[in-house]
Amino acid sequence: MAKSKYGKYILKEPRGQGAPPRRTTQASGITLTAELSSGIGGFDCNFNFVGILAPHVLGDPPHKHDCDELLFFIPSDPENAPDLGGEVEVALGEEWEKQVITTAAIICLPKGVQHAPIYMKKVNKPFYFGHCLLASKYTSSASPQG
Amino acid sequence: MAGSKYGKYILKGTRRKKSRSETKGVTTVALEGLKDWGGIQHRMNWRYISQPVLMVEESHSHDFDEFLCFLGLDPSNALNFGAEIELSLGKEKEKHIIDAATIICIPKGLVHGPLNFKKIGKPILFCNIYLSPEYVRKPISK
Repeated sequence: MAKSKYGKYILKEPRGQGAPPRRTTQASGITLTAELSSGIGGFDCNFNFVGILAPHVLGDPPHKHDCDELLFFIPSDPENAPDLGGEVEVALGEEWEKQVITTAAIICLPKGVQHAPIYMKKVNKPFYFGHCLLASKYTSSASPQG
Repeated sequence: MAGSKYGKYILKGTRRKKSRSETKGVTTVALEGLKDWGGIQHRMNWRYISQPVLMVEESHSHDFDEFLCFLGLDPSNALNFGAEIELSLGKEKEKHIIDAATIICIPKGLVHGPLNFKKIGKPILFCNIYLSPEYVRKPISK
């Protein structure tokens, strides 16, 4: 936008770097990465939205972060909200305590709380899943370099 | 959940009656997080927008960073976006049109609003992420 003072704060179709997932069980949504926000000073936050299209287990092994994180599950059908349109099993803690998600949900993970595997067990209707980590870059105990 | 150690960290949506104050065309999911929730310092919420609505009438700012996310309701193609939204940024109220899946990064102190969902061809998802345990607006002095 010509002569815009604030247009830099608007990230259209933000998808970050790298190829979209080849798996047919997921679809890229939108994402905020350190690279995308570097032009506006950066933020202590990164997040993404991923479309969950079919049952599968996420690739992340059990891990933890040294900062707080939210995991979220967003149904795509407002008429049937808060039904998720699927069923997810999330392992929390080093005990792998199994939590079952069948509705819209947010999981708060204080730093140091282990989580995963995450099993997208049933997908009757595609839904959004994502994370929001309070750090500019995504790093974890499983991949400290992100 | 009885005997659960980690269930306290999970906020699940519950079926509820429409509130009298609910705006037509806006379906709010009543999930946000408790004020003191595991000590974490950020929150999120989301709404489904199915009809035009002037959601925020006044310019305001916050003492925390905020991210406004707009995306299509089809998880297989979040960029499939059929809406036109007008957002003003800055004290000058510089107008911006959002007609694609978008994240707007609003650093603390940046004045923003009004926020007007002007055209809704297809329902969209509007998600608000903010880096504070409590959402507080600071009105702009006139």
